[in-house]
Amino acid sequence: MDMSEYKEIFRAESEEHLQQLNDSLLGLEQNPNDLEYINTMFRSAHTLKGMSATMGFNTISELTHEMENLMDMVRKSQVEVSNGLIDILFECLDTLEALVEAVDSGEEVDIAHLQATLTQAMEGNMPVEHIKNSVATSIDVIQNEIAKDIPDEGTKTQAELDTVIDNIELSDNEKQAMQEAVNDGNRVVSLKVILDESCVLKSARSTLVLINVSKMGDIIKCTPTEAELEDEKFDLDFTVIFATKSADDDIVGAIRKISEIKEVVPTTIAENSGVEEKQQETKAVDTEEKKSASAVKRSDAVKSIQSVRVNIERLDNLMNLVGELIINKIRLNQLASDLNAKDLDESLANLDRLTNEIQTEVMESRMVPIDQIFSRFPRMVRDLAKSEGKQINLIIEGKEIELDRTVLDEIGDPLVHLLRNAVDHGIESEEERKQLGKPVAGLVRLAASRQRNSVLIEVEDDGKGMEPGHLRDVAVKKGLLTREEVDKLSDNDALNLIFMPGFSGAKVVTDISGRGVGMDAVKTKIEALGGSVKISSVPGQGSIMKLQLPLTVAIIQSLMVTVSDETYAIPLGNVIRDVGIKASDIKTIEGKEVIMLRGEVLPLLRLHDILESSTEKEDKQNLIVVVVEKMGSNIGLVVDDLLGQQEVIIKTLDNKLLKNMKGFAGATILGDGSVSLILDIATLI
Amino acid sequence: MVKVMIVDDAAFMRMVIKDILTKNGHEVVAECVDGLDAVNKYPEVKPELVFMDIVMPNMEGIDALKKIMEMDPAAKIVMCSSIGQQSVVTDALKSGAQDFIVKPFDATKVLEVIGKVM
Repeated sequence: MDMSEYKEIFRAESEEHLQQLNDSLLGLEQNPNDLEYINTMFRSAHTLKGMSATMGFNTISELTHEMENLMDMVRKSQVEVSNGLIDILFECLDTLEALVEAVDSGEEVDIAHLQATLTQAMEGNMPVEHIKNSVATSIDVIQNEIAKDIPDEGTKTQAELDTVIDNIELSDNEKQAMQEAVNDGNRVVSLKVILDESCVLKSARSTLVLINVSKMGDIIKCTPTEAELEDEKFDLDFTVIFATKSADDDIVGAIRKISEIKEVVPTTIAENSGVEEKQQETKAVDTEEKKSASAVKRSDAVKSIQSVRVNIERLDNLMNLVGELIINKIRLNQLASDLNAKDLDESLANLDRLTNEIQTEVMESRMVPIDQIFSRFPRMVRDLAKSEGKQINLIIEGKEIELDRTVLDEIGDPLVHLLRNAVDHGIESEEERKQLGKPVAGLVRLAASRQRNSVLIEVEDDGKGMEPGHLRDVAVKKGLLTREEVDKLSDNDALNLIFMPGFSGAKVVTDISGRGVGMDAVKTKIEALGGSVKISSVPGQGSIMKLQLPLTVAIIQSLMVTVSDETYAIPLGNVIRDVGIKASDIKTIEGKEVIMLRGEVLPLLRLHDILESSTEKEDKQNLIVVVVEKMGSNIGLVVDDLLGQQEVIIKTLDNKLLKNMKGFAGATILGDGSVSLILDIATLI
Repeated sequence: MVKVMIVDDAAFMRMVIKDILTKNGHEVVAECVDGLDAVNKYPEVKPELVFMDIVMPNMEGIDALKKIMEMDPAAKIVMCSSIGQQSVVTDALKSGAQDFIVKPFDATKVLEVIGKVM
């Protein structure tokens, strides 16, 4: 059976369970006596075990199996919830995470060490296996002699019996029962049942056999005993002696209907001569039916989530198609107005409404709660705080806020970085906080809230904050700016220095933060999504980072401009304003064009030059400038004309030829069918 | 064709079982996310056969089995168990479950059990 097509859903669901395990374990750490956490973890581990075994991921199923055992022992109070136990379980979760991750690559993850730790944890408190002494209950050994005790015309020969009922001991009571059964016109059958070697739950399988046997007659004896069968204290075969009126063929047929049965051998060991064997319907079914004719009152209907998992690629395609649909709709509208066809108007209005609805629905279907990434932060912050010996209260707000899946995928790393900074550099050590009269436990707040057309994420801490003076010093020391330059910066601009490539605010680079991804990477990433990062900080009181993010990246508001008769889209998120200027107002500083605008020096760039367009605008006196923001500073782009604001559907340039092109975020198709490029301000200039 | 109801809290397991069933001409009339869901849906959809997971939130498979057997003593329920669940499965069989399969299972096992039970 090819399981590869289930990999995706396996991974997705496994990750959910891992999250649940993580959350519960964090909960358990706080409330070691709350067994509900253990129960939830047990269930998740169990489900993971079943899923991974089905996929054939044996390492995962082995590990989860042992975790399940350990948690079962905790449940039964055989193992105590200690810090050590929590740490072991966290280690298990990390390993599981790695294992689930490695599902695609097929990488091997060694779990031998962890298994040993788990075994120790279990053994340290109590031995897992303890063997019950089974007491033999039988009295008489009448091997090979059963037949002699009973009137025995028509029974099998002694030799044949030996093979079937070897080693069977019958008590007096059992012999009595056999005699009575025979007197009532029954046959006593010894049924030897051999299970398949592949049978996993032998005890349950044997129970099923016994249940079916008891439907055909009365069980007199079972070897091994029923209790032993239930405890799985047998190899593959067992023998049941029972009184029945059913024929051998029916008996064999009924038992053979059970799965995992290798062989069924019935042997008559006693029967009354002259009594005709009658096939009788078993009573069992009838009585059972009578038992429960009473109607069961239905409990109140429970809400069940009716949802399907859809591959994100499908949703991307759908979004793309919706884009095409809208473009075609716009063209149709244009054609209709050109043709002045009134009849078309009504159906076009309908089409308009429908496409809008489809667009909204598709966009909604791509939205996922931000909790999907927020939920992993409590664990991360806990580990960070622990490793640095800090106490931290993480407050998470607005985890139900929804964002486009693509945006969500991109903001995980930036948020990790910001949170690490907060814990690592923001929050002071315990002693420091005590001296400052602050609460010992530092506060980190991660909050999402919905603005009109965007989502605001704030990362706030009540730590030491940032000192503009210190940041200026660092910038000079690292040779990023001269002393003169930094002295000109306002305090607010000085804070923005941390976004400069090559700047790291940490005096000592620890192994936790400051690992390559700097604040500049955070800013670049957020801006590439069409968002923005703002920072404010009060020395001694803490810092707050505000990330403004678009709800979706598939459709953006753009300012449409023309340069040399080509239309370009500038994402509105980058645009500050547009102004008309006179060519005579342009000044040159160090050979570069600038203009004074509202008391500020605004560098000018001619889009015409950057894009290497051929023809120049005729009117060289009156220029149109679009002011855009890049890395906290404003730049003026000179364009030929402004066409207005428009929603554009982004088509990414992800084929081999174009994907390394800088300066363009993608392309879009306009209402008249022409293609226009979307400028990416971050990489264009 | 057998009308089957699948009860499992893992969407993954439901999908695997469902695909096996539908690819082999059976119909999945309901998918339930836990025991409670199963008990509620059973009288509505009246499946001919139920595949019942054991460890589930809200209501475990064994309790759901007992409730459904009370409602419909002729219900045909197959338990989906894992290694190490002997006692629960034994209990389930004694409470009226028709059969059980052990994870990991493949199409052969699932189809075999349907053949045996129906």
